[in-house]
Amino acid sequence: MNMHFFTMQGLLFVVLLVLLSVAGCKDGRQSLTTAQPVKIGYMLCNSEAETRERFIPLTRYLSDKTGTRFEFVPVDTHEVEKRFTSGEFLFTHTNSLLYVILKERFGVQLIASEKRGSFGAKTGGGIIVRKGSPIKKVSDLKGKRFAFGPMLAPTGYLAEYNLLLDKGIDPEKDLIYTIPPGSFKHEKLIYGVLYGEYDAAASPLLDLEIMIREGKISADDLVVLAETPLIPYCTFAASKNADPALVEKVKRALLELNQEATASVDGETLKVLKAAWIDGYQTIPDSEYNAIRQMARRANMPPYQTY
Amino acid sequence: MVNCVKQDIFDRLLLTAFVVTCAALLYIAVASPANRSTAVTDDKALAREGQLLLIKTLYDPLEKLIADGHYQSALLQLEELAKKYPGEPTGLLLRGRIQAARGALPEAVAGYSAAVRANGSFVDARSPLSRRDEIAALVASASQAANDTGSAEAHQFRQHLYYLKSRLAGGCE
Repeated sequence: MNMHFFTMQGLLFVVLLVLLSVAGCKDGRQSLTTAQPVKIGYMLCNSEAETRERFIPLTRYLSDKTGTRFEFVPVDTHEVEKRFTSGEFLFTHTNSLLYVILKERFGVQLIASEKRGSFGAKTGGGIIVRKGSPIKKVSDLKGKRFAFGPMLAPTGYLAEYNLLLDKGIDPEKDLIYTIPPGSFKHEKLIYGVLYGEYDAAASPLLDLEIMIREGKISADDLVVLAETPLIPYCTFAASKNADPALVEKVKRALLELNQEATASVDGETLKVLKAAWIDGYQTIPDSEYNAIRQMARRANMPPYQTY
Repeated sequence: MVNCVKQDIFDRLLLTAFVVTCAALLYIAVASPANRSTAVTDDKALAREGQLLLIKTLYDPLEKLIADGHYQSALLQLEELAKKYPGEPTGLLLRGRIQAARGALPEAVAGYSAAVRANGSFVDARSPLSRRDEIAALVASASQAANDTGSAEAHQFRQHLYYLKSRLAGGCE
């Protein structure tokens, strides 16, 4: 009697499980939760918290659009290469210099370039001094206190480093330079120039624009001494081993992104582009990154660094 | 001897009514519809002159920065002005000029298109604000690029371009 009761109970349990799994497969989102996630490594911008807030909605959007569950993986700039090679993530969202490094060393596939600011998928930087500074031209910088952004920042370090070389200033010999530590480096060095800690600094144009828009600084506070050429901004890429069909789906989803696209995060519906502070994505050929390759060669930077 | 007749209140009321009527007739005669229209026209002309003066004061230094190739400085100043005068069409146009100069043609075309939508005088050859030649030159150089662009954003690029072409051809909003 008891044996029969337990057999019946077991049978009911199995039936219930089957019913639940069938119901769970009814829509794509449910099936996403059971699949193995595909990881996207996001290079940290100013801080991990900020990067999460910006790109988790985009990651969710990609999951919804492609039917593949994507997972957000925050990665410190200096760890991108190491963690990519260890297989921690298959897709990458990095700045354009890191894309070039991953492309040259591991053959990643270019998916799409991010549009933000006045020049679409490209942006630039400049050398700034405080208004009223005795430094009127780049050659006046010799022997002065100079601040660069993080070493792997295309428009906060690399482009300005090259600009200085172009103008006859060797940063290694002619400047007393520093790189501010910690997070929000670009903002720090802009404030550093404003309040006299540095005589001049390398600054991405985007950061200056945003700080003016937010009222943190005034355009009249600073002078742009020289400006860099425009180079590609942040970039989505995928490992050469990634499923081509999935890569194509991701590319299509990114290119289709518009201001109305939303994603649900923790029960809240968010506008994807607005949350990510970007204007969209576009395809540009890999040859557009050649300017970065040339700059990296000249500045003895990865992936061409020689010791 | 002068025979003075003392005026009572009705006489004074009558006299006041007479004076008021005369003043009203005089006013109607002076401020006729033609004169009123002239006054309005004068006001409009004054406002237009004021607007031109403001635009000149605000944007002439930026035009010089752009002409000298100081694009970033000009962009930062535009950003500052956009906070005070959001959506001001001359600012949009100058931003488009910087974008065009730096090779960002889709963004430049979108900028010029927004400027013309906000102020049609930019395509009017007779307007003191006219930038017709500049817009026509941009449209010519962007047309080739729009044909070469195969990305998903090309549609929007072409839409803005067609809009500018139609406005240059005399089409209305």
